[in-house]
Amino acid sequence: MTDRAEKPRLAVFKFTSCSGCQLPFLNMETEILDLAESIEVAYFAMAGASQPGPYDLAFVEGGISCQEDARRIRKVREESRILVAIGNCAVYGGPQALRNFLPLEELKRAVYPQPELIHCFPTCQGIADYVSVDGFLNGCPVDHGHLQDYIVSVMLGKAPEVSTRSVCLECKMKENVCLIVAEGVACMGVLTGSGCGALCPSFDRGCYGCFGPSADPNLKSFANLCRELGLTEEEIHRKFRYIVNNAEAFREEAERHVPQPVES
Amino acid sequence: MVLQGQAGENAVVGRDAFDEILARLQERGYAVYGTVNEKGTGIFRPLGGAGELSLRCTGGTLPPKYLWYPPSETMFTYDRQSGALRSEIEPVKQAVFGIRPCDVHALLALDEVFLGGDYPDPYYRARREDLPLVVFNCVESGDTCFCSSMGTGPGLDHDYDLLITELDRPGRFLLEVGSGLGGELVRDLRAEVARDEDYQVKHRRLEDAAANARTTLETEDLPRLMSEGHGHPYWREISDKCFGCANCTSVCPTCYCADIFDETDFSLTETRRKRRWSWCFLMEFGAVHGGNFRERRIDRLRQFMQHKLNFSVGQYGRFHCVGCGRCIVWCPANIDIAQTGRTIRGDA
Ligand code: SF4
Ligand code: SF4
Ligand code: SF4
Ligand code: SF4
Repeated sequence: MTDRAEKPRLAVFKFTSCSGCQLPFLNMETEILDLAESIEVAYFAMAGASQPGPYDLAFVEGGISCQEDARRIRKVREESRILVAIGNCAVYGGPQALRNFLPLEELKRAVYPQPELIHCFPTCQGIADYVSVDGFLNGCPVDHGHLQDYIVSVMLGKAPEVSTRSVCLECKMKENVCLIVAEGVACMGVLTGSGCGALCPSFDRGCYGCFGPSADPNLKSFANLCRELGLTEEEIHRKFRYIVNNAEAFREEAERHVPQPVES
Repeated sequence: MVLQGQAGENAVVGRDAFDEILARLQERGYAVYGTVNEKGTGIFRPLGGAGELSLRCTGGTLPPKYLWYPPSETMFTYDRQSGALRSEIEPVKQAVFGIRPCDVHALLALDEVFLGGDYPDPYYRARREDLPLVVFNCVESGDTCFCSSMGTGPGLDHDYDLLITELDRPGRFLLEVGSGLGGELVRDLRAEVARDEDYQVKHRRLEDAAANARTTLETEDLPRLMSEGHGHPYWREISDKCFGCANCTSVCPTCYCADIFDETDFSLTETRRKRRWSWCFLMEFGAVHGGNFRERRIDRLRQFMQHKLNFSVGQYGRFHCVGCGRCIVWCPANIDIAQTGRTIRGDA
């Protein structure tokens, strides 16, 4: 680290989530040694670091789902110069935001033997609903390359690259044959931001939309395509009520296709 | 007869000649690429043997452009301690076996973009200077090919090292030598003398392929008509369907736009300046300080098609649509540039 006298202090926090977005840090293996030279990992529970703030750069995984989360994210915000939401949960609320669309008390009774012990908000939201956020890295999980670029950019004091490319472009670079064109599969790659390397289409699975809506998704045209491919309104609804269900564009599109009443 | 190995020679050969040509390219140190049937289409791959080659015109997914203009490449590295810049531009030896006339025209269009003018691109040049082309003429057009409309096929009569046309019987090919290197690749090869009838068959097959093209676009006065049709309601109709996914531009053999960015490791010792393909269809393409100059999908779609069917003529004196049909095949919304051209000019 030549550009700065002191090493920047990095923190990684977890809220309501599966912890999967912290794994890309641990999977950096050799790079992590270089990283440790140039940066101080001050807080990262999974890696055993738990020093107090302030922090120069904080990555937050997980959505805000209860009073304790809400209190803690405000504290993290106060202690962090740059605060970045990583992954579907911190950005949009995560798969667990599916509960936002159902009556909470019924859900508690359906899942827990002692529902009265569960104290949570009726919705799970991305952290930007509670605090101001400086950057968003989508994905379920977040992409290691995006993380690396963000950290290095902060250390160099430059703007990170934030690509708005669709999954289709990663798919094309792998020379996959398009599933919509060749197989009539309603692949969501045309609506979804890149980062996964077109993982599912490379295994002949239509994209599930993990990285959330791309820069200018044409949802109406996609719904028409789904109908032409024989999907029912309910099936179209479910495509948008899936992994990334609480991104505004996907949430609203789901509402346009007959939500089904839940059985309790 | 035995081929002397001179430019301008010709002969009739069988498929076994392909093995010999391929072997000689490989002996000379070329990495040889050709279209291989895979996943129901033709994909450009490094060739093991000539038997893998697909003889049908299939277009494939990515055009062979990636060989001379890779999707992503390092331009130079910058040592952050010493401030030294290092650029390693090594000549690359690649060859294409079975490139089609439309893709050769696309290559010539890129030559003008990258090598024309006062500042030739050294990265492109390193891949372009030694690039033998064994061309297959198309005796049958694919469903979405409109090379005959764009004047880029189905036959080629320039810029080849070897030119191969399938004759009336499968396994009989007219071989034409276009350069000294092409000659070396076939010197001493046993072959039949090409007779007038063989040439007649060649011309008839190419004429038939053009006449039977299932996709067409009249290019007479097209740039002017496209300019006048800037506000045509058809743009709205197709942009309502368009996903803005950029699949179309990503498979286009003449798209040349790039994005330049820096990549630095965690150690912060070295920065690589890279460029990668980028396209006017991306939102990020028009993102500049303070806004975006092409925020609406309709404008991005129109830019792509206008560049191909209109602006390129003003810029370079030729259409940058070579009629390969790839953007039509791979558009998940069934948007068709030839149909658009016909509609705008009032022929549809
Ligand atoms: S398979 Fe899916 S991700 Fe791949 S190009 Fe087709 S629509 Fe896009
Ligand atoms: S491939 Fe089709 S849908 Fe995708 S951006 Fe191009 S024209 Fe639009
Ligand atoms: S615009 Fe379409 S048809 Fe024309 S050269 Fe490009 S990919 Fe081929
Ligand atoms: S169509 Fe767009 S991406 Fe392709 S060369 Fe033209 S401006 Fe560039």
